[in-house]
Amino acid sequence: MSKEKASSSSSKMISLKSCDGFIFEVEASIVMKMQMLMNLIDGFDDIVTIPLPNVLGEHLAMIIEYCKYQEEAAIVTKEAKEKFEVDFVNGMSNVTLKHLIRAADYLDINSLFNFLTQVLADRIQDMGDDDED
Amino acid sequence: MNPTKPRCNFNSPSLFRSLTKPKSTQIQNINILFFIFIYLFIELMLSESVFCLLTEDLLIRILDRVNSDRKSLRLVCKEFHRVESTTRKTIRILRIEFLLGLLQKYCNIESLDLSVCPRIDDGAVSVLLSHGSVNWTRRIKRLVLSRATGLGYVGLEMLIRACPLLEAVDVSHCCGYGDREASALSCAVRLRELNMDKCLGVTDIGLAKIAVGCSKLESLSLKWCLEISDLGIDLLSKKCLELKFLDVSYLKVTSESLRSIASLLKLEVFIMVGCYLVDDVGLRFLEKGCPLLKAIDVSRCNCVSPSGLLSVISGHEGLEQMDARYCLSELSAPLINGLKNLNHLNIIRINGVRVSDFILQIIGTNCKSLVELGLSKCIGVTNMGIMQVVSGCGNLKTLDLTCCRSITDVAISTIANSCPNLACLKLESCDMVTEVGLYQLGLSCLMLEELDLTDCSGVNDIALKYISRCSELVRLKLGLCTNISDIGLAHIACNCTKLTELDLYRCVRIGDDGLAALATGCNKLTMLNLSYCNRMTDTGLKCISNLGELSDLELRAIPNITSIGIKAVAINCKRLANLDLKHCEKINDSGFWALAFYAQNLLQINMSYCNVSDHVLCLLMSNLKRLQDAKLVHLTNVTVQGLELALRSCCGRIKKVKLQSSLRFSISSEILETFNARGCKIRWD
Repeated sequence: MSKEKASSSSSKMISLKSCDGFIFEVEASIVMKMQMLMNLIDGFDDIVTIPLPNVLGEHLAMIIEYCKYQEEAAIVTKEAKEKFEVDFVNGMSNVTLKHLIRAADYLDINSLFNFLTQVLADRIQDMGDDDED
Repeated sequence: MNPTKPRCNFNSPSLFRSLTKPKSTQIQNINILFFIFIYLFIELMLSESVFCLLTEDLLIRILDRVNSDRKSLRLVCKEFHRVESTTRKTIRILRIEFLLGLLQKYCNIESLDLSVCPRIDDGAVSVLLSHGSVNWTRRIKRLVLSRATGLGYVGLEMLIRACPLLEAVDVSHCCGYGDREASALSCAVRLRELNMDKCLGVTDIGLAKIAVGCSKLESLSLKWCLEISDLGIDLLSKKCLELKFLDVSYLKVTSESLRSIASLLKLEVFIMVGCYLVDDVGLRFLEKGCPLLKAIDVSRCNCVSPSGLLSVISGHEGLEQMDARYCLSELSAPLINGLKNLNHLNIIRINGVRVSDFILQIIGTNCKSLVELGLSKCIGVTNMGIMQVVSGCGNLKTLDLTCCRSITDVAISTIANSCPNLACLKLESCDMVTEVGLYQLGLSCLMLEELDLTDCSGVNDIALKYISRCSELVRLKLGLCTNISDIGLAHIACNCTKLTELDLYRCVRIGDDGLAALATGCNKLTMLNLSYCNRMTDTGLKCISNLGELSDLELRAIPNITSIGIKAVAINCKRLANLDLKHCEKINDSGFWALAFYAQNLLQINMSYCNVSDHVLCLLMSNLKRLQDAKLVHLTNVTVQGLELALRSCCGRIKKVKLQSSLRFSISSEILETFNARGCKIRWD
């Protein structure tokens, strides 16, 4: 494993590898939001690639996008945040939503998990009696 | 209560001697204690309880020495019951209904075993931990949750956080466990032993969490955790530096992981059975690493060759245990030379390899402290070779010569004369062994506990008479020995009273008389295999029912047994856990009804090809609350609806069911899906 020297841990780049082989370069601070991976970053200083055999590439991309937005969300207004969330799930099929919920549960990202489960709950509420999915 | 004047003479010489002899004070105290005990018992046994005169700590010390089982001790009197409750250290819970009550009563337990408690789940754990006082968790050091598939990561985390002193956890065979559960396990900061065999979902990330959280880990078993790769092992080796025992069998790790493992300075036992991606390069890393290595197991590693094993040996001359079963085809000359330096070797198992008299002579001359030798299915084992090994290794306790067909009575006699401490001898398929060799065995090896003579056609009644002289015999296998009859069995029954396991598979000349003798003589029997013993009838089965400790009984294809015999077994063998009645076609509903009503401890049953009807099958499956594995192939009198009803009634509890494949499309898919969702496996024959 090649070691990347970083000036501070927050700007260190970690590669996340999904189960179908896609590699995503993200900053360590974003990976820290994933509680499951937090120990890996803290405990092992020289880790560079983390394999995630339980998550598909496309879902991992969406999760990283959400986490990145969360990082910047402190300086953004509440309306902009809500608009992002609506856009995020707009047109998302139920199947993808379920996969994302499972991935968020595995990676232990509380904010994303709560958000997605609320979305699914809302959809169930809106569904009529004779709607099939 | 006023103590009356003692009638015993305090000047009696024996008492005076015992009080003034210069023994240690502790022995003096115990002597006095026992004297008081006996005196009080005689004086006051008619009036009041003796034991209220003794303080609790004295009572504890006395009862510690009493050798009977705890259950009968509890029932003697209230004081005993109270003492037993406070001193009980381990408990294994059988039924979930009693879980809460038992744990509140026994609050000093150190080891809790929930592996046979069916369907313990998160809800049960949260009830346990929220109900009133939870001081039962404060001392728990060991938690056995093997096969507790219903428990998820929420319940597991609650349980682990509630036990601050937890040192050992066993979650083996919880096949659905993954990284979330590993994360829950990493909360146990003091953890020293962890068994995660067959936790199929655990990946490198889960392993890393455990490595970071439990840095004091000394023993870790990861057999069959197939998702773990070199990265996980590398992370483990960086954090868990106290590791002494590591089992990575069947993992898809490569030689790179052995580079990391070599850096574990305290590693003593390393097991890597079936790691087919590891080769000699990996073993070369171990040569310079793990200085304290005492035991290595490279069985079934196809890419390992003698030179790899030689590297491990040359680096560790203090090696005590070497296992290389079914991986080498022969031992090279350098490896044989290397064996000469291993003077501390206790255990060698080289099953399946080609040996020669020369190799066995080297072992006999150099490995003088050998205690166990495994040569099962080895090619080239001859009488001369065996004689050379055993004459050098007089301390041998276990010798495995399964399928070494050239062995004759000469070798057995030499073994008997050279190894008086022999405890386990396996001679399966050694056809040329007869009563001549076994005579010597019966004379000299009186410590023999386990003897395997399966498929040895030379064994007859006279041979059994000679073997019966080994009165310490505990496990005896006589399967496929067609020349033995009731006479031989009677000899065994008379003298081998400690027998707990007996295998008489296809011993067709055994009949009711032999079984009557067995039932009288060997009352500690727990496992008995009588499959295909055609001469057996209900009379024999009634004798068998007198064996109160019987837990495993196999009665396949016995044509003459009927419900009368089965009823007797069901009523009297209260510990019956495993019953095989395949092809017993004369047993009808009344026999199975008796099983459904009386055999409440049954865990596994095989009823394939039996004549049971719909409603009795349903009764059986719903009444037997501990049943976990049922084989129901080809039940001719059972309709599809009846079978579905029976399956539905045991849906939440049962773990494995075997059905015939022709029913695969007749049974409603809804039932199949429910079974799948509840974690029950259906196998199709």
